[in-house]
Amino acid sequence: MPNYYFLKITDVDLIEELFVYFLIVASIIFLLVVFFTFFYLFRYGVKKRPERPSQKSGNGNVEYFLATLVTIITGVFVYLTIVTMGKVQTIPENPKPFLEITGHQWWWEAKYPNSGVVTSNQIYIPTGKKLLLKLNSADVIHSWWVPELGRKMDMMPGRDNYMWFYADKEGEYLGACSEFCGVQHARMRIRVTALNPEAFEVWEQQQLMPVATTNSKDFLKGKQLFETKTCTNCHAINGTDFKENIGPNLTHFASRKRFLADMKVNNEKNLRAWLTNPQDVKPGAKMPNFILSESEVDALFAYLNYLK
Amino acid sequence: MSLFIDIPEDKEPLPSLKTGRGKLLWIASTDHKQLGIMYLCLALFFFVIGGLEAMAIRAQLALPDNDLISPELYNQIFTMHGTTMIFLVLMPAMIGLATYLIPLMIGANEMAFPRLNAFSLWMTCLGGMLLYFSFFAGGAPNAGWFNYAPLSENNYSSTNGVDYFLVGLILTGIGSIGAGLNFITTILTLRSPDIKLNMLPLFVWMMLVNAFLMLAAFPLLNAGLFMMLIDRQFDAHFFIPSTGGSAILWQHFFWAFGHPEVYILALPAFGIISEVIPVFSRKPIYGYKFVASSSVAIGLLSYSVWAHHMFSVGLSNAVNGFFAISSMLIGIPTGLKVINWIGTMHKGSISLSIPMLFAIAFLVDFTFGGLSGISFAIVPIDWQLTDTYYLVAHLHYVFLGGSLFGIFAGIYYWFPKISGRMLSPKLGKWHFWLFVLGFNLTFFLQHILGILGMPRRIYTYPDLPYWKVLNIFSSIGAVFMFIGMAIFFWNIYKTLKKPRTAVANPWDAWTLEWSTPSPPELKNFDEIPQVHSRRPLWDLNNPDNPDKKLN
Amino acid sequence: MHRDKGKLLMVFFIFSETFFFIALIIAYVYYRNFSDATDTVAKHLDAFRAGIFTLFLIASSFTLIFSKKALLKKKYTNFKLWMALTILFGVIFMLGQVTEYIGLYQKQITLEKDIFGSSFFTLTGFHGLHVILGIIALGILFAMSFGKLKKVAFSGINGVDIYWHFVDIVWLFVFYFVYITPLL
Repeated sequence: MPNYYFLKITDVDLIEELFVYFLIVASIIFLLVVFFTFFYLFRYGVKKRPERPSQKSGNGNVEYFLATLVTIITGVFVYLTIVTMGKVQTIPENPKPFLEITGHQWWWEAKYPNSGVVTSNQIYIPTGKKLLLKLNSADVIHSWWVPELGRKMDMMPGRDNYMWFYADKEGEYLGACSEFCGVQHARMRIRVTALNPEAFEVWEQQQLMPVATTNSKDFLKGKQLFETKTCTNCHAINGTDFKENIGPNLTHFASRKRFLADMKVNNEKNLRAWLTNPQDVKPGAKMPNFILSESEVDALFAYLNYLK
Repeated sequence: MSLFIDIPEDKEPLPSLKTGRGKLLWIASTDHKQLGIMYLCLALFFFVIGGLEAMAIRAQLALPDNDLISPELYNQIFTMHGTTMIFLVLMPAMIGLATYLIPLMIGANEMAFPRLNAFSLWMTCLGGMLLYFSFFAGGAPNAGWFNYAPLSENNYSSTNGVDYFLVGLILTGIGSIGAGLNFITTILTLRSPDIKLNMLPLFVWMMLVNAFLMLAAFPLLNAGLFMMLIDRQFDAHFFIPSTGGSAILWQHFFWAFGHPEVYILALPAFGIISEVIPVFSRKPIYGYKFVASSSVAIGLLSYSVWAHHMFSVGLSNAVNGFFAISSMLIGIPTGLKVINWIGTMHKGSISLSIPMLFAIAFLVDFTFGGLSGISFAIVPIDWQLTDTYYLVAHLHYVFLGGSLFGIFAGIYYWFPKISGRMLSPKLGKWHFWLFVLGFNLTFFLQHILGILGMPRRIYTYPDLPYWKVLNIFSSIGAVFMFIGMAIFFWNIYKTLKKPRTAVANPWDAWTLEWSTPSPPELKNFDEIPQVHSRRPLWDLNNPDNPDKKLN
Repeated sequence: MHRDKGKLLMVFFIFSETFFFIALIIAYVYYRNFSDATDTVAKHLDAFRAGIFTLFLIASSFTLIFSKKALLKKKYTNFKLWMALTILFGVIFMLGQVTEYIGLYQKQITLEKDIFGSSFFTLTGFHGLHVILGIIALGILFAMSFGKLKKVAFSGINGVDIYWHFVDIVWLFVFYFVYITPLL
């Protein structure tokens, strides 16, 4: 059996190939059914044949023949299914995942165990390498699906699932949570950025930098607000005492292009709107409305912008 | 014939709502015909509600980033849409037709347990009312019709909606079990002495298999529902992973019920089609024994396929493989049936009246839905396409293209028997074309949306390439269906205003129900015609060419 | 074609009920064998004590058989005696279960304690509910045998006795999976 890892035939290609086979056979069967239905309708219409038709009906041999034929077709697909399944779902004995993703209502937490990088929502992967993902959930069932990069896999609370993930070309790949997970299920989308291995290395190094700090007045004011307004009850900042991960880790928030699980572009307007009233932007989200004054929003906005 | 002596009523029509005690005689009725009609009315009532919910869903999804409906409300609406259509529309419609027709088709004057029959109806009704009462009690259930834990548990679902869902479904489940018990005992004990099991009309055969499925499937659901209710009300831990429970176990329970349920909704439609196609092709069914026995095969297999709803959960290849094989196997008996229906038309003399039109639409669209179902049995394809709009499209092809078209065919076919009036064929044609074309427009496009990556159960979506145009046309199709349904209800309303003119056997059909006047009197049969074959009325009307004697 | 439709109804009702109990038993077995948690209830259960009450329930099935035989032979006094004994054994079994519940609650083992508490009380509770319903049905038959409704009692017993044997057999499975397997 050829080793598909080296042939660079991806899981997605395998599944697509199988889908094409299925589509061809299913289309032929469907067209035959439609053809015979309508052919008989026109051929044996009451206007053409008003007389009483012969009442003989049923022919065991025809039925057995067709049943055998259908069984053979089914058998072929059973074989293809089992073979493809074995190629796509192969989890090693002691899985060492490249990336651990945890689903939360309604955002993604991503950990890179090899490098120690922790981020959320904005997920980067290197190209040209088959990556093992570990998936689980912090609350309800979510489902990880980026159609172009791999299969779909549910994220079950209290259970680790593993799957392979592969990007051949650089670029951005879209996906979405595919198991209904509550109010904002629709806004739990995935954007995976595939970088070439060198660029990925650079990104990882950047993510490993300690949290930014300066002595500027607005930074300190924002930092103080961040700590006193109970933001830290949910949000972690690496290198500080605040390690809760109920909400996304914000250590390098300003380096992210989008936020709220790919819902909004990370720019001044959107971020201010979000800080002013989260429930207005994403109703049902876990972040409450803190009823911040305009100057407090300014300060928090400035602080978050330092977290490059 | 001791069977018929017990029933004292003389020849009198069913009570009319217009007379003084008419309403009471319906509410307190134990007559299978009245109960059947009430089941059908219940189904039509909830069909209106479920249909309006569907229209709300399509209105919200017509445009990207639409904020017509809030996400909280949207989630309640799609949950209620699914629950309503399955438990309060398709189930009562199927059970209603069977309650009305089984005694008539087997030459009996009543169901075996008339009071149990009434109990079943009112339990279903009560369950439906409770389910909808949730809207006035803080919020409807919002965790989807399969109510996955732990989303449906206290921590993540704070309103009482899910509790109403659980209690409502337990009640309708008890009603369905009661109906199933009644069908089996009626078919086994009250048949006219002439009728052997291999002479039963195919609709009755399917309902017999179906009743067994109901008896075995609903207790599994009820056990799961009770456990979740205990979770929510008494703080137990069955399906809460964080305290030692198992979210997967709920899925096993639900789908061990849920997949047989799919066949519970499909088999009666198979039965209706197996009655309609022969009558309008003027030929007996092609391969009676194959059609009947393949139902038994489907019934047995349907208990070994449930985990194909769970291929993306992360089960092992061995488990997935087993359920893939059995899911593909179940396609074989189903495919055989399609072959038999087409074979029945071969060398027939086909007249395209409305029931036959719906039967043709059933053949085409159900085959399509069945084939797209095979793609979910092929595990790797399921790993890509499950829980997308491809799946939404598939299940609507099965439930509408299959079950609902079957019910429509049945309603048009038996309406003269039930009401004594023929539905207008002209309005029927409008209904047929608008609904069938609208249906195919709405749901065919959703296959493509699913392949493009649109997950199901989302209240809105970003403006990605092609998503907008496909969704708009999908919503336009829904409008066609809506107009079609309005015409259908208008047709029923207009027809019921007319005098009763239908003859006893307007379609020149062959089963026993057509030997009674239209509508039948309170007592079905004074004396039943001689039955020697599967088509007693054919023998009566064609003495020169009777069917082979079977008894 | 005359068949006892009441008996048939009960047979199919029990067919249906079987699936309900299978589901509950599967849940119990699933949590014990496929979850990481250890069974916290089993070590507080007294299999010997429960075994004695099990014997009462089994005995009640036999006394019911005798009472039915007596009825078929129209020996009404014997019928009443055996029936009374059956009901008594049923009640003793229920008393055993109630005292067991009380004992467990005193040891802080409750429905909401953990997953095994949940499944133990749900499974045995639903079974107990069926026993109570069975006792009520037997009681009605017993009461009717004093009146003029002997004919109804006659057809009624055909259904009730199947139900009572079913409840009995279900308990044997519950007893095996809940009380015996932890000891093996």
